[in-house]
Formats: sequence, C-alpha cells, structure tokens
Amino acid sequence: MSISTSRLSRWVVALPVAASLAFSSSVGAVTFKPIKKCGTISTAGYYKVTKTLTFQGSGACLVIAADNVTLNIDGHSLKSSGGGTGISITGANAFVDFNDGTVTGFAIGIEDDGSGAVVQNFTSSNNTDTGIYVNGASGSTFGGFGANNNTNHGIHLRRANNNILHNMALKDNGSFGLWAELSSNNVINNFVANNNGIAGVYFGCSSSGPAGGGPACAGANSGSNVVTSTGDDNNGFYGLAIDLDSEANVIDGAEQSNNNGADDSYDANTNCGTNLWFNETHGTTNQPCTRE
Amino acid sequence: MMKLEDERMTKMHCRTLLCGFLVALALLIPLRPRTARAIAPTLITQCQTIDTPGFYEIETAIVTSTVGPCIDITGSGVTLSIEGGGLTGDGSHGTGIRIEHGAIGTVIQGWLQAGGPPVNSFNIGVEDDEGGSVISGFEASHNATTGILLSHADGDTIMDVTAANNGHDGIHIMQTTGARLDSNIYVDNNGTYGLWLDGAANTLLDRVEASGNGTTNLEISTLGATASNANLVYNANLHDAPNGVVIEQGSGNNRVTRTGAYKGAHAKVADGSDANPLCGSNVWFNNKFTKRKPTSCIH
Repeated sequence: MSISTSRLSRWVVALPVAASLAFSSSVGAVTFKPIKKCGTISTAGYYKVTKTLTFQGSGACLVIAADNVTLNIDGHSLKSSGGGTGISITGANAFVDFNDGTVTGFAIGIEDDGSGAVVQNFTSSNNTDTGIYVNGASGSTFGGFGANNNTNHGIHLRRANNNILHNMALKDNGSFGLWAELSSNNVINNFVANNNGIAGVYFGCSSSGPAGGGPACAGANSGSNVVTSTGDDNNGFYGLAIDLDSEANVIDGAEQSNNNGADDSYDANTNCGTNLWFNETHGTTNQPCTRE
Repeated sequence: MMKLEDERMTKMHCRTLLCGFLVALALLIPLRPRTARAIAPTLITQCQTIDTPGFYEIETAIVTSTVGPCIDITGSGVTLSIEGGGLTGDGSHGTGIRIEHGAIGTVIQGWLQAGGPPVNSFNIGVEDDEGGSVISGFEASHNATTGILLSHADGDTIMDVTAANNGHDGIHIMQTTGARLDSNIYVDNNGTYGLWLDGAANTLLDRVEASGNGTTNLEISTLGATASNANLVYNANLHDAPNGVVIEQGSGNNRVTRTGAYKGAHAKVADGSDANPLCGSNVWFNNKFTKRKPTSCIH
C-alpha cells in the first residue's frame, strides 16, 4: 500500500537534513552535505551520513523525497527500537551506497516507492516486517546485500516492475526470502534464499504462500520475471514457488538440495503454464514440467 | 508501516493453518525423482530467423560464414538458450545474434557464469536494436568490431558475460538509455575500448571488470550531438590499460565511485580522466586512482 499524503505529512517532518549540517565536504564542484540525524532530503544533491542514526516512531528515519539524490551511508548503521522505516525513497533516481552499512530494527528496513533507484552494499536485518519493500517502484537496482532475519520477508516486491536484484543473500526470514506480488519484468540473479519460513522465492499473491488458501489475485499475478543462478535450500516448504496465474517467468539455474519442507520447485500452473524452468537441480517438484 | 495490521493478523492466522496443512502434505507426498523436461524447446541447428514467440535452444555449435545476422530475432517473446552450443562466424562478417527493432521481451541465456558458450568471430557478436532484453551467460569474443552492441536498446540488462579480444570494443552502448550491466561482466583485451558508452544515458555499470584494452577500459563519449549523461559507474575494477575511465568533453552528470584502476602494465595516461573543465557536472568520488587528470576534481 502506498503511503497516503496525509500520513506522509505527519512524519515527513520537520527537520530537513540541511538543518543538521555542520560542515560540508567538497568533491570537485560538488559538496557532500553531512547527515547527523534522521530527516528528509528534499533537495537534489550529495549527502553523507556521518554517524549512527537512531530512530523511534512510525515514520521513516531518512526520507529521500527529491529526485537525483546521492546518499553515502558510509558504513554507518540506521537503527530503530521497533517501528518505522529505515530509508524511504519516494524521489526518482536515488543512489544510495551503504558501503557496508546496516539498517536494523525497523518495521521495514528500506522502502522504494520511487523509480530508478540504485541501492548498494548493505544489510537489512532484524526488522519486524520486511527488509526491503519495493512498492510500486520501477527501474530500480538493488545489489550486493543481505536481507536476513526479518520477521516476515527479506524482500517484498509489490506492483514493482523492471527492477534488478542481484548478488544477495536472503536468509532466515519468517515467511519468504523474496516475495514477488503483482510484479513483472524484474531480473533477479545470483543469490541464495535459505532457511526462510515458507519459501525461498515465491511468485504469487498469498501472504501464506502456495496452498495457503489459494492465490488471492488469480488472473493478475507476477509474470515475465527472469530468475537466474539461485540456490534455495532449507526453507520451510518450498525452495522456489510460482503460484497460479504467474506466467511467462524464466527460471534458469535454480539449485536446490532436496531439503525444502515440501517441494524444492513448485509451479501451481498446469504444466507450468508459460513459465520456463531450465538448468534446474532439485530433488522434488510438484509436477513434471521443470527440466534439468 | 506499509503493511496493515489486519493484514498481518490475517497472515499469522493463515500461516498457522498453512503449517498444519503443508506438514501433512509433505508427509503424504513421497519424494519424487528428478523430472524430465516437459516444455521442449525448439532446437536450432542452423542460422535462421526467429519470428514466433517461444523457447528456442542452440544445442550444438553452429559455424557459419553468413554476412547477415545468423540468428535474427524479429518476433517478440523469444527466449533463446545457447547453453549447449554457440555460434562461430568467419572472422570478419555478419552478426551472431541480432535482436531486431520490435522484438520485445527477448531473453538470451547461456551458461550461468561468465565464459559461457561462444558467439565468436563475427563482425559483431550480439546486437540489440530493440531494448528491454535480458542478455546473459556467454562469451562474445574475437569478433572483428564489437562483442556486444546495444543500439537504441533502452532498458537492456546484461549480466554474466565476457567480451574479450574483439577488434574495437567489448561492449558498445550506443544511444541507449537505462541499460544496466551487473554481475560478472568481464571485458578484456579489446582493440580500443573495453566498455564504450557512446551517447548513452542513465546506464548503470555495477561491478564490471575491464583490463588490457588497447586505449581505454571505459570510455564515456559523446556521439554527435548526443552526450553520454547521467551514467553511474559503481565498483568497477579497471586495470592494465593506458586509461582507466575517460569522460570526454560534453558528457555530464556522470558519477564514478568505488572504482579502482591499478596494475598498469602500460605507460599509463590516467586512471581517471575528465575532459570537461573542472570535470563539469561529473562527480568522481571514493575511487582508488593513482593517476588522475585533472587531480582537482577526480577523487
């Protein structure tokens, strides 16, 4: 669900980041403005977090509201006592380089509601809902990260198209390592999704996964995504699962070691519908339409 | 905060029910053996046009002296696996695989890592004139001009490829917006440029590696009146060439960060070079360069 304007206005408050500036560091003709507290970035430019940011409440610690923002987290941590969002991206073309920084303890670690964001090199863990929520965003890229030990999901794509997620580890999340809901044309590659409560990867609309009461959005699901080079092991029920009416997905190179609770590979569509599964290594599947 | 509390409660309730159901299901269903393929690909054994949506596979190597494209993809919705074979030209003519304008949603997949099956010894290895394609898992090398050419191919994704020993450039991104290259991109020992952004905008180069290219590992240039603007180079590993990254005059709003250029076996000109006065609107930061030109704005 999108953040409503009224709700946004309650928490996108107060202190624009510029108000927390003390010193600025220059690189060539640009200036990196230091960020020392949570706030909203409402102007395009270059910003750098200079200390651990702690947060309490239900809003977001950092809001990237402007287009064309470059934010260097510089290895620092964003921490919450249990609510809110670590970074909320609503502007377009944000570039966020964590440089091994972390975001922990929020409800949602990172939420992307914008477009064309590039978010790199981070860990989003121990959040009470989801590590990364790509909510209606398109054209964004998330790379080199971990989304672990989140209460529900490592990554949740919802109505999110044409995004790339790569070089990641999605482990020990309560439900899904990655959940693609109503999301299409995404490229997801080079990753592991292990030890998640229901499935390593799930394409569908039921928050309970396949057979969890049936797909909640049959006829309008996640299609034309490309998944390559993934290992999905030791998940509660499924390694990689595609629910009814998620079609035209390409699954290439999923390796599962016959140790997921129900099926390593699962496709609810008859004869896999128009989904292509190949270069598959698994122990169990629910129907003979995956191929090795 | 995006998730409603009632949704979460419903989810927890459903999950409890689901657990019982699925555990029972798991106990009832015996382990099944590995399955045979059910969706058979259309096998390609010679150069041809693909004008119909579907799943195609090159299972054995194709050797050709064609002067046009060997595999000419003209239809939308084509997935082409080249994992079992590859294409080899005569050393100077033709294009190995061409995605024609109008061929929407093409996926080309080879092996799952760089150094896969070859698309070698053509004039151009792979050319995309459409955009929105996913191109991965093969080696485009020893082509007379270019390994991989994106021409007006907005929104392409390239990953897990090697483009080496091509006559002029490894990967040429020409008048294309929003291409993204990530994961295991190796561009080595090409005649002039490794990666060439040529009137390209909003390209993401993420973790690419280029070495030993004749003039420059990564060239960001202006094509006629079209500048290369707003590209992002992140965490590139560029070494053993006269120039690491070069931004030519007129190209602006590019960002180069966490990029290293080292082990210069050649008489190095610069690891990072920007022809715009004071780098213009380009921003270079957190890089690991030893030779910079100019030093005042490349960091």
